[in-house]
Amino acid sequence: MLPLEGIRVADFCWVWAGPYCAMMMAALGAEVIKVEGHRRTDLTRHGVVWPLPDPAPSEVPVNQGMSLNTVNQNKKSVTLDLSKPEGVALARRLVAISDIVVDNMRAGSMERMGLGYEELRKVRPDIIVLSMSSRGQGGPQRDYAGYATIHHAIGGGAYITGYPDDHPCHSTGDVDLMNGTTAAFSALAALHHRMQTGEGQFIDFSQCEGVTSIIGELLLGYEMNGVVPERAGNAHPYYAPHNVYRCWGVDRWLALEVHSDEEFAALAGVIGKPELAADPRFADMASRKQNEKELDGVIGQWTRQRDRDWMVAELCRAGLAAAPSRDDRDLYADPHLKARGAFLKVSHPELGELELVGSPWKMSDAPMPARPAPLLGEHNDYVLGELLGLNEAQMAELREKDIML
Amino acid sequence: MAPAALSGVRVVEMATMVAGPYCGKMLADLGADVIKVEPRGGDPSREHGSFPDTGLHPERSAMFLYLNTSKRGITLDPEVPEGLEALKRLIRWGDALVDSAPPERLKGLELSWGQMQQLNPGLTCTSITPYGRTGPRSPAKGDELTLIHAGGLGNLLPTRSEDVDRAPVKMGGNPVGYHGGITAALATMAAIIGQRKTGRGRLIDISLQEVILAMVRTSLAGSRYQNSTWRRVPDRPPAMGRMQTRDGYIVAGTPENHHFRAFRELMGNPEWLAGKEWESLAYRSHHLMEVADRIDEWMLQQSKDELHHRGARMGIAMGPLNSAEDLLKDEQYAARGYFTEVEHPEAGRHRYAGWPYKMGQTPPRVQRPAPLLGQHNREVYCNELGYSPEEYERLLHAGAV
Repeated sequence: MLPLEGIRVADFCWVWAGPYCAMMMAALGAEVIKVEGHRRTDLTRHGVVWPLPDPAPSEVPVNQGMSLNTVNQNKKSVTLDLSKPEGVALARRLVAISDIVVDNMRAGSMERMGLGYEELRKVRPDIIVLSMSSRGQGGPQRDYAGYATIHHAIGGGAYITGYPDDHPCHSTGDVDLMNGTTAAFSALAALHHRMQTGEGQFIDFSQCEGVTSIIGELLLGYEMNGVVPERAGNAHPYYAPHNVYRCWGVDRWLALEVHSDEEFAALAGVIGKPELAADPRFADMASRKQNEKELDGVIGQWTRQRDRDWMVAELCRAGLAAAPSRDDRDLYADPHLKARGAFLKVSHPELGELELVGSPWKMSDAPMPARPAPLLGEHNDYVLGELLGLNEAQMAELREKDIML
Repeated sequence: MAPAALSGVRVVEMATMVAGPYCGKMLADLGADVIKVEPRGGDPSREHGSFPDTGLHPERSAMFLYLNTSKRGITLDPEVPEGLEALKRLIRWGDALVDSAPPERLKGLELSWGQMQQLNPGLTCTSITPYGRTGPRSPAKGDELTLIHAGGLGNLLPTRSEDVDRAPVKMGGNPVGYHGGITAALATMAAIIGQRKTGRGRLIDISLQEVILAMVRTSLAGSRYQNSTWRRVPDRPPAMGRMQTRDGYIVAGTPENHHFRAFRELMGNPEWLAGKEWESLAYRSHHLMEVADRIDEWMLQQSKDELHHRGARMGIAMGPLNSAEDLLKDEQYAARGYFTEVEHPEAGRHRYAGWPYKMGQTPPRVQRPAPLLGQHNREVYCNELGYSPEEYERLLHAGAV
């Protein structure tokens, strides 16, 4: 049995961060109902792709985009037009039988639709509402627009990423997934509080701040010593060697980090230069750090000529921390990830069997749910009929009025 | 004082460095009773810093201070029989154990998962390891640089690279540790909720490689099923993105045509962008590189903060690349009270980063500063663990504490 069985989440989210937050809760056993207008769907239902060698981008069918299908797994889908009073009324009725509400719309959007926290408390006094926004609610910048890479920049992550002799670089959409995971944690903490006291609450989540909280030690360091942390490429303040080395082939690299003199001696053995361990230039951590460039040159000479995966195996056998810089093929083919069941086989009604990344935890007595992202409106009958008790005539009327699909 | 969301939740944290301690911090700052169990020499993060001008000091390491707020701290050596006995008492006391050692360590002390469950059926054990508790690669070592690459995310950075001959680069800071800590906190929280209902805990096996793998789930599916290219050097020149200003850098995006029109207005409607053809996304995709130099030149004259405000007020999504200095001066962060002051007996009074979740009823807060090494030994051993003062002295003599 999954830990969140019996919990229902009303998911008003779109794009990545919010939907992924709700998906994390679905993976833990909650029943997550994704609410979209069928004419104003989640943006990821209109994904644009532009693979080689197409001359122009094209739109992906409404249930088939990979963005949609990787951040909405294990959810149910209901369509409701929230620009119409009947749609909002039904959304409120859904909230009344839900434990948690999540949205990641622009600040103020839910309130304007009549689905703000104060309104929702009227239908369910102990409701937990989690609202994810770019800059957070309140403050002079509350209405500023943003998305993943902008949050990474504002939050401080981009400034410290990249090579010192090149430009700083922002991350990928992974920032949204990190924030979604963090937000889900806060919702569960609120759930715990409600279990103890019967009290719900409103959670105001800032995605920029989510990035800042994960560089907290760097900010505190600056506070204490006034030195602004700068980007450092692949280097580490103390450890050397600590870098990514080119291997034989095209764009093939391995990462290696050595944390002690013993490990360095082991490395010297593996690369056939045991004398390096006694070399005064590299004898201890401080001198290795000082002569890092030279050391990287020596190691790079060895790695350039050899097969990436063979080298990683040799280095790991010698007790070192080494890994290939894995690309997509490597990840799907990795025997360790296969043995771990890191990928799930998911049966999609339109796309057939998909192999998708599973949840980032393995929990005992908790089989990993493996349902695909829902088709648009797939669970209209279940949600509106079974959960909210509408009969056939009422649902037909909703379709006629274009309030649902 | 506002109530705490996790009051009554008891956590034994035996983890070091970043991932496990950040999980413990997330729980502790919401009021969980977290006892951090350090080896006698202390958590190695006490040596990582950075440090104030006065130099390296185990009670003044920014990494330790930030990651270990709100916890009580004890020292314990489980290799000593009396220490192992104390650890068993901790396991009986706790709702959750957060562990970042290889599973062999506890198994070697006759504390396998099965044995822990016998001591405390309600215990959740959250085990954070580089590659997981099982599988052919599970014994391998890994840390920030190797794990971000083992999980695939490293291979995609720097984003929008132009040079495939330059090695992929890691994300700055300790992203693997933090992502692992957040994932561990989420899973642990869920397990505790489940335990409140069923009385039984869970074993949570967190592989940091899989934590990173989860972050590239969409890129992976795109490359497998939609023919998109997995590579840090994109197939086509990017439309817009990170740009250099006179005082730093900014990220801007104009995904839709009305964003572009607003951006053009922001630039003062230069005649070389005036043509109607520019208002088409397809045209821009193929021709923006022709005027990239001119855009860059204009950008280099702007101030990142001023441009941010002007652009944002016109509805353009933009953001400056903030340094630590920028963040501590930022008006939005200040208005939201994001930074919080913490007084520490050795390190002094400083502003710490806060939390991205403002909870209306149960706001997170620093319950106490990070513990000094062994600060709560007597208190915890004699109260929570039930040792008499004489027994505690014997533990000290035996080297268990």
